[in-house]
Amino acid sequence: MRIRSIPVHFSVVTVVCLAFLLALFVATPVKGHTYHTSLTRLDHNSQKGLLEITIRVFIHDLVPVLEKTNQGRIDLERSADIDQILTSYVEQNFELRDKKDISQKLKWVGKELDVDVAFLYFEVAANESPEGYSLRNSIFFESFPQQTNLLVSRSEKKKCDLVFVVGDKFKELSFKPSLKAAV
Amino acid sequence: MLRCQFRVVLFILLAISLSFAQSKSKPSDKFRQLSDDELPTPNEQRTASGAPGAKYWQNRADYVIDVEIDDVNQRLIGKETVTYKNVSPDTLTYLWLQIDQNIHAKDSDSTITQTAPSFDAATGLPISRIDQLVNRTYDGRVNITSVRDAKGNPLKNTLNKTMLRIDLPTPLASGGTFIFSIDWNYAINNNRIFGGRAGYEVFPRDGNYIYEMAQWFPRMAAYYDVYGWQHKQFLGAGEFTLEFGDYTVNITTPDDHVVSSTGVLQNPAKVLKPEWITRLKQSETAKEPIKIITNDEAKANESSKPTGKKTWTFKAENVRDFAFANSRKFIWDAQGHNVGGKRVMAMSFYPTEGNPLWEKYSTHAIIHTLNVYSRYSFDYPYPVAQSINGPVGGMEYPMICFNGPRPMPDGTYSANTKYGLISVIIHEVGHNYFPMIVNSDERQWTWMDEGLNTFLQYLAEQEWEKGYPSRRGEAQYIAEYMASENQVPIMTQSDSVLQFGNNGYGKPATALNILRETVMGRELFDHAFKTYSERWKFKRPAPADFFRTMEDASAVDLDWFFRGWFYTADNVDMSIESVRLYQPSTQNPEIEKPLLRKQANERQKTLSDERNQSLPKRIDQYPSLRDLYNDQDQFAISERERTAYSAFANSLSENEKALLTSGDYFYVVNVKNIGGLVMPLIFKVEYMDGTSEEIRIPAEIWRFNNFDVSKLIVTKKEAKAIVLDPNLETADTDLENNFFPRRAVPTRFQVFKQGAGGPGGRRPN
Repeated sequence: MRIRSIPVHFSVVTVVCLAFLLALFVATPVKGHTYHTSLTRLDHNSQKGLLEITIRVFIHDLVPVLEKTNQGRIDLERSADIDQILTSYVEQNFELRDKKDISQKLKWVGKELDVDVAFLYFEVAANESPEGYSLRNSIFFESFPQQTNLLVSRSEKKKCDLVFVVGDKFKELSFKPSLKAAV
Repeated sequence: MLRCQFRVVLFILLAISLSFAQSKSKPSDKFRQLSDDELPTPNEQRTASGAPGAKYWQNRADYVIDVEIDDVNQRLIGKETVTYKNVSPDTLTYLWLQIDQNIHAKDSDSTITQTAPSFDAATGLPISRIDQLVNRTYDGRVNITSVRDAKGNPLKNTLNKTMLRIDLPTPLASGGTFIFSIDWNYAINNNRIFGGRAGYEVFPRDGNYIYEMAQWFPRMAAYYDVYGWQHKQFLGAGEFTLEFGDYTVNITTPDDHVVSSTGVLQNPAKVLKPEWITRLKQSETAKEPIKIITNDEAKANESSKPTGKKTWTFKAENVRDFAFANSRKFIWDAQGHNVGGKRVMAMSFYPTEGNPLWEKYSTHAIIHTLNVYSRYSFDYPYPVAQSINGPVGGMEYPMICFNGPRPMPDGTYSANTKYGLISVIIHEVGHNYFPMIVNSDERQWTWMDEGLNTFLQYLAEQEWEKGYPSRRGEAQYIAEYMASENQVPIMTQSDSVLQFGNNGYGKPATALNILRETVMGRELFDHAFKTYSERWKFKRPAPADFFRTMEDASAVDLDWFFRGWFYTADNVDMSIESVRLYQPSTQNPEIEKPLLRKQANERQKTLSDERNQSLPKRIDQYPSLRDLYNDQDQFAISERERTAYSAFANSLSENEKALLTSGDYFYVVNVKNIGGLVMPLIFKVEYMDGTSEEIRIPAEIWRFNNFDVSKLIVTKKEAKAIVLDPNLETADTDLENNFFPRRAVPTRFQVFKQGAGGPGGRRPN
C-alpha cells in the first residue's frame, strides 16, 4: 500500500485531513546526529549533448529509506539489483522536464561510495542548455520531514541554485551571473 | 639610483569581461576587526584574551538517582534528588529543568512544527509510516508525579513542553544551595520507529531488548553569564548544555541484564559473575581487548529468563550528564589503557548481531581516539570510555556513547559499513572532549562541538590507516557545498540552521583544517587549539572565547578568517585573470633593437592591414614625396645610441650589470576574488623544463583591495603555466579559473565516467 494511491480512492478533503494527521502524529525521525540533506550537481556537456548529474546523498539516510521501501536489509555494495533499486528510487523522486514540459529519461551511469556519502551518477540526453528546464527533487521527502535537497548548476559564467523542501513541486532552472564579488 | 627599464615580453589577457568592477569603489571590509557587532565586550568572566576571567563562575548540580527499567512494559521509573548550587552572583527565584523526553509526547512541538511529508512523491510513504499516522498509540510524555523540597514539601512547578520551572519558596541567593526531589516515569520510545537520541530496540529473532537510555531524567538547565537560563525548547536538532556535578545512580533491571553506564561500577560483587570480575581484572593490563562476557555466554543469555531484579550502582564525578544501556544480549570486551599516567578502561558492549565488526574494531577505536584527542587537547580525565551498539545511529554522553553500524545478518560487511563504524566511534568517543568536558552550549552553537570534534575526528582517522577514506576535513570536500547559495553563516543558532549538517560539522571542520594547514601552520595552530582546550575544560566557552584564544595564543590576526568563514555564506573562488611577463631591458641597443624588430614582425596584422596592403600608394607614384622618415630603418642602431649605452654601461657596478643581463623573468599575476572569501594565494609555477616551484602568499595581500590583486613573481626560468591552489587547500569552488593558461577540469561525474570504476564500481581509495 502506498499513500500516493489515496487521491484515486478518496476525495481531496480526505487527503487534506490525512496531511493534518501526519503533521500531528508523525514522530520526529531525529536520530542522534543525523541531518537530512542532499546535493546535486548538474552540468551541461554540450560536446556530448548530455546533462551530467551527480546526486550526493548521505548513506545513513539512503540505506534506511531503501530498506523501508524494499522491506529488507540493503547493502549498497552487495545487495542484488542494487543499481536497479537505486535507479528506480531516483526516477520516482528526481524528475527533470524540458522546456516543452516533457519528462526526461534518466540514464544510470554508476555510483561511488565513500564512508558516509553515496554519489549517484545519471545522464540525460540534451543538446540544449538546461536553462528553462524544470525539476522536482523529492528525494527522501517521504521519510524525513526536514529533508532539504540542493541543486547547483553552472553554465559558463552563470549559475543556478535551487533548494527543495518537503511540499515543493517543480522548480525552474533559471541561471544568473555568478560573480557576486562585483556587486 | 638605478632605474631599471622593462620590456614587456608577453602580454596575455584572458577574454573575460573585466569591464565591470574595475572602476567601482571596493569597500575593503574583509579585514575589518571583529567588533562589538560580532563579539561581546570582554568582562571579568570572559577576558579579551579568550580565557575564563578572574570572576568566571558556573553553577553546579549533583544528583542521586534511583531508576528502574521495566523490561515487560518498556517503561522507565525514576526518582532523583538534586543538589543545586548557585555560584552565580545573581539571586534566583526559580529553577529550570529540561524534560527532553517530552519530545516524544504525541503533541510535542517537534512533531507539530514538522511540515507535511510529500504525498506526491511517486515512492509514496512506507507502510510503517502510515501505521504511525493512523494507529499511533505511543505517547512518550513524562509523567511527573512529585516535585518536593528536602523536607518533603511540594514545590510549585510549571511545565512548558520540554522545560519545567520550579518556583523556589524563598529566593536562592548567590552561594546558596537548594535541594529538591522529583519522581517521574514514562514509556520508552521504540527507537526503530520513533527515532530519537535514545530508546529501545527489540530483536524479533529472540524477543530481547536493548535499551539505550539518555536524556532520561529531569536535568538542570544551564544558567550562565552569556545567556541566562538556557531553556530553548528542545526540538531535536540542537543538543544541550548542562551543569557539571557528581552522580550516584542506582539502576534496577531484570537480574539477567548487563548494564553499561557513565561512571564507575560500585558494587561489582553484587551484580557481576565471579568469572566476569576475574576477566575484568585481567583486562586492566591486557595488550588487546579481552572478553568479559564471551560470545557464547551472550548467545546463551539470549534465551535466559529473569528470576528477579538487580540494582547496579554507578558513581561519576564531574560530569555534565549521565547515560546508560542495558540488555541481556550484550557481549562485553575491555582493555585498560594508560592515558597520561592514569588507567582508563576502554570497553565495548554489543549484541551478537554486531559481530564480527564490533569485537574487531570497537575497543581499538576507543583507545585510538583517546590517544589522538588527548594529544591535541588534554589528557582524558575520566576512568572509563565505552561504546555501545544498539538502535541509536550515533550519540555521545560522558564516558559512554551509542553507535549504530552492524554487519549484514550473515556476518559479512562492506568497506563502507566498516569505515562507517570506525568513524562514528571515533566521533562519538571524541565528543567526550567537545562538548562533554569543554562544555559549549550545543543548543545555541552546533559548530562549537560538532565542528571541533569533526576536525579532530579527521585527524584521528588519518592516523588509523594510510589513506583512510575520511569524508570531512579536507578543503576539497566542502567546495561543492559552499558553491551553493542556499546556505547560512556558521554563526547561526542550531535549530534554525539550513543545511544543519554542513554548517555544524563539515564547514567548520574544514575551516579549522585550513587554518591549521594553510593559514597558521601546524605548530602555531596546535598550540592555540590546545590552549583553548585546556583553558575551557570543565568550563563553558562561547564562540568569542574560541576566536580570541586562537589569536591570543598564536599572534596571528584571524579576524578576516573568522569573519569570512563564520559570519558570511561566501565561498572561495579565486581566478587568475591574466599573467604578464616582463624582462629587464639591458638598454644595450645591440640586444634590444633586434628584439624590438622581432616583436614588430611578430605582431599580428589586423584584417584591415592585410586588405590595405595591396592598394596602390601615392608615394610609390611620386617617389619625390619620400624623405628620411620613409627610408630610415627604425630598428637600426645609431652611433649616438651606442655611445649612450657605452656611457650607461660604464656607470654600472658589477652587481647592476649582472642584474640587467640576468635574463630573469618578471611575471605579474592578476588574481580576482569572485567567491567573496579572501584566502592565501598559493601559486605553483610550472617551468618549461618540467620543474616547478611553489610560492605561498598570506591572505593579507587582499587587505587593500578585497577583490582584485596583482602579484609579481620573479623567476630564473621561463614559466609554462601558473596554477593557483595546486594542492586543493582553500576549498576553491571553481578550479578551471585557477589555471593559467586555462585547463579544462573534469567534473566528478566525468572523472567517474572515464575512470576504471564503471557502472556500479567503487572508486579506489
